[in-house]
Amino acid sequence: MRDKKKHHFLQLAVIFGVITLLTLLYAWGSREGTMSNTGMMGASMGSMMQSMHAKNITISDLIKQQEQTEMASGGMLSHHEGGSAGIKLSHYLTTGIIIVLLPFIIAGAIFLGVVWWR
Amino acid sequence: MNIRFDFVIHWLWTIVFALLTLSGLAMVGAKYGWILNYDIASADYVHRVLAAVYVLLTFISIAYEVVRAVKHEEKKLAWFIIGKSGYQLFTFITTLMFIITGAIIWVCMDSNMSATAFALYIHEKLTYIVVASVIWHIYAKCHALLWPKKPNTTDKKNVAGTK
Amino acid sequence: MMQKRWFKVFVWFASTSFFFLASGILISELGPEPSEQQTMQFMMGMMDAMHNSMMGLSMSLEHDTGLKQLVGTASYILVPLVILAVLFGLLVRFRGKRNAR
Ligand code: HEM
Ligand code: HEM
Repeated sequence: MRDKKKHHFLQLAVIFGVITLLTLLYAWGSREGTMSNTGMMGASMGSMMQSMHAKNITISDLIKQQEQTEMASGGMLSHHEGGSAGIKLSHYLTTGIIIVLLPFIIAGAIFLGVVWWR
Repeated sequence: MNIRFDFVIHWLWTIVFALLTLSGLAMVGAKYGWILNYDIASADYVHRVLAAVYVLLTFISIAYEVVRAVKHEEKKLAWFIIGKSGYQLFTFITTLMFIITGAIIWVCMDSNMSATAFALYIHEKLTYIVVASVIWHIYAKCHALLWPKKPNTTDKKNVAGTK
Repeated sequence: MMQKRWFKVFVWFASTSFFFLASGILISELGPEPSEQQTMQFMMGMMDAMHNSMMGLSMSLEHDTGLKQLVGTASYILVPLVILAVLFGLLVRFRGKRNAR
């Protein structure tokens, strides 16, 4: 480690590199015998939804199905928009902030784009 | 003590960004769930509340730059997150992408599944790119990691150790 | 400020957490496929999020006339706002050039 300036970065990089390697080795090692084909479950939410969409099944369909089963089993209780008053309040607040500020952010960005161009 | 506006924004931004990435990653899929011990409900809550904070910070930053542009202030703010060139431009563009795709996911989840899926895809891949870029950023600016000079022994030990 | 000791600790903490995030991505991407149990845990977590967090609430956005109206208003003001931004931007640029002379 000659480069004194980058010394701390290298420290972090090496430490985390080693941690990552060891964890990966452990994860692969401890997996033996638990071979299970979970298929699409390894995929991310985005890719999963895409493949689902390709098959014309959407998450909302799943939710509706689930709701129906819930209804069938006697539960009006948990409509999936459940949650306490606090969660409802934060939902309104955050959604409101995002929706209201978004046009201004876009317009501001376009303004800066025009002013900054070249 | 004179603390500058761009400095405050940079570090607030860093905190919010780290937590957004943490909670976002936990939701990517079963492969990633271990990051927050499969507590997706909390991850979702944290991600959505902080997304609002992030949008607010972005709005403030853009408003600040708009005012500066109107006043024709050309001086570059060393710590500012958005700007017209270099890494500042990069964060500006990626931030806009995060916010726009995030809002699409948010609003279209109930109505337009293909839009949601597409936005999720961009949102997720963008996360990987931006985390890599932040590591690079820490590398480029790693003088920030140096401890303040003090007349103590640790510095000398370091020098001795490298010989 | 950058020379304060507690602030250095914070900078180190922040840097370390970004390294943790990068490691997390690498471990998850390069690691083995999730096991049955992990998948179940993840799906349970998602279900929990629909019931007890805001994900479920935003999945019923279509039934929320108030928020739907807000979305409508926001998209409604977007177009004039963008046009205004372009015009105003051109104005500021033009004025800037003239002042520079
Ligand atoms: C630093 C910025 C951000 C990062 C790194 C980030 C990261 C992520 C990641 C990795 C996911 C999971 C994607 C997947 O499952 O494929 C996600 C989901 C999501 N993000 Fe973000 N995000 C950021 C900002 C935002 C913003 C600003 C918003 C809203 C305006 C937002 C809204 C969402 C939503 C709605 C989801 C879907 C999951 C849920 O329902 O909570 N994100 N984010
Ligand atoms: C622990 C993490 C971080 C550290 C140690 C760090 C450190 C620094 C330092 C030392 C500067 C330079 C200030 C100067 O030149 O006087 C800077 C600038 C900057 N930072 Fe960070 N930062 C971190 C996280 C982030 C994050 C998460 C972002 C955004 C995603 C970000 C975006 C920026 C930008 C855009 C600049 C201006 C860069 C330029 O003009 O070249 N930083 N940062």
